[in-house]
Amino acid sequence: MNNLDLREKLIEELYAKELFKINLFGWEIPVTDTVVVMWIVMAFLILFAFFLTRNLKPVPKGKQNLAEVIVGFFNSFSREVIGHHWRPFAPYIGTVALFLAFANTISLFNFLPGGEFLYRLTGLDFLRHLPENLLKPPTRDINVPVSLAVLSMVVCIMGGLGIKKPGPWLRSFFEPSIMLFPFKVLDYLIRPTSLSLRLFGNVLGAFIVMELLYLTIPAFLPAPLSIYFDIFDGLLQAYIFVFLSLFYMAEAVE
Amino acid sequence: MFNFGPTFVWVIVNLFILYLILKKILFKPVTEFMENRSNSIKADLENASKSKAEAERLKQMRMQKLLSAEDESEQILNAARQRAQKEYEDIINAAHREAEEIIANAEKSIAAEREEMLRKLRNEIINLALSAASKIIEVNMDTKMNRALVDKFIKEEGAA
Repeated sequence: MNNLDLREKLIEELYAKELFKINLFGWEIPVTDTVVVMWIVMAFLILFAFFLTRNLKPVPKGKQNLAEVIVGFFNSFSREVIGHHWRPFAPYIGTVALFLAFANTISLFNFLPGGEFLYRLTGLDFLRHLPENLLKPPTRDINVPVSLAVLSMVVCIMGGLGIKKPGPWLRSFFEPSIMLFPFKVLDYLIRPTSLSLRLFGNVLGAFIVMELLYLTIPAFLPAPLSIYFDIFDGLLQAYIFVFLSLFYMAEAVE
Repeated sequence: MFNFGPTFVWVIVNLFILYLILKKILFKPVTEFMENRSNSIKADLENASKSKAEAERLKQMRMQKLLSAEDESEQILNAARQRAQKEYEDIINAAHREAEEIIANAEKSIAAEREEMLRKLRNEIINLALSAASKIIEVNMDTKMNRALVDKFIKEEGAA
């Protein structure tokens, strides 16, 4: 395998491919593999949540313990960082954290059968559009971290407007000094940029390292490194993203 | 990798839907459930401490009642004992009196009997003496005057 081949293969893996188009109100909306993987993560999370929360009992047992640990973790995490007004933020933070945790580590599940196999198994036509190595982290597509960061900023602003009320929230831009106004405005541009690029760069970097490994040394070596790059780094970045978002929200409602 | 576009909108829409669904089926019910449970546990604990205090109070009350009942029974016993003692003494005293009376009566009747016997003996002796004297003096001494005479004599002798 020469260097050119390697480079082309890597770039092909990096780009999100358009898999099919959906016709919505006359618009042809392209659907990339990022979106499909996101749907898979969403479907998994929703089924998982549905399974965990069926018939809750006063004395928790088995799966209910897991549900309580997950929800309790995000509740106390939000309460610690935000304080009194944690309630509206915990579900959003939990959703983003769960999504990121599964999205960043999803390449672990590439051993599962691909679209062609599922198409032959079920006969459903749309499955044929799914490529073999579909399950690549959606966060390596810049659209995902950027939209997550934008959403976090929107939640910050909404939290500030809702909890502080518009007047005091606007006034907070000029406190403690009017000199700080430009910087406070810049915060709302710099923060989402840093949030999204940190997540994007880490996941992309880990993804490139792992893809290079798979392309050059496919056996043995990828396994231990995958523990770091696919699991640890993915979970760590999810945690950092969520923690910083919470921190910004805490500042907005303070 | 760097192509912005429809994916951006897709992701925002997807995340919003995911947020709504997870909030509805996971975060909200579990949080409410856990809070309700901790509230009910709190209430239960409060109730438990209340009933414990109530039980403690009842225990104290019962203790006091028990103590006062013991006192009361002690008093009743003492009163009964005193009454029994008094009755005992009354009975003993009555018995003493009765016995003394009986003894006194017995002594009286003994004395009367003795008197009677002595009188009979005296008469006998008088008769004997009279018959002996009549034998001696061959005179019928069985007159009233003689009898009185002898009687006087014996009385004097008896008194001596």
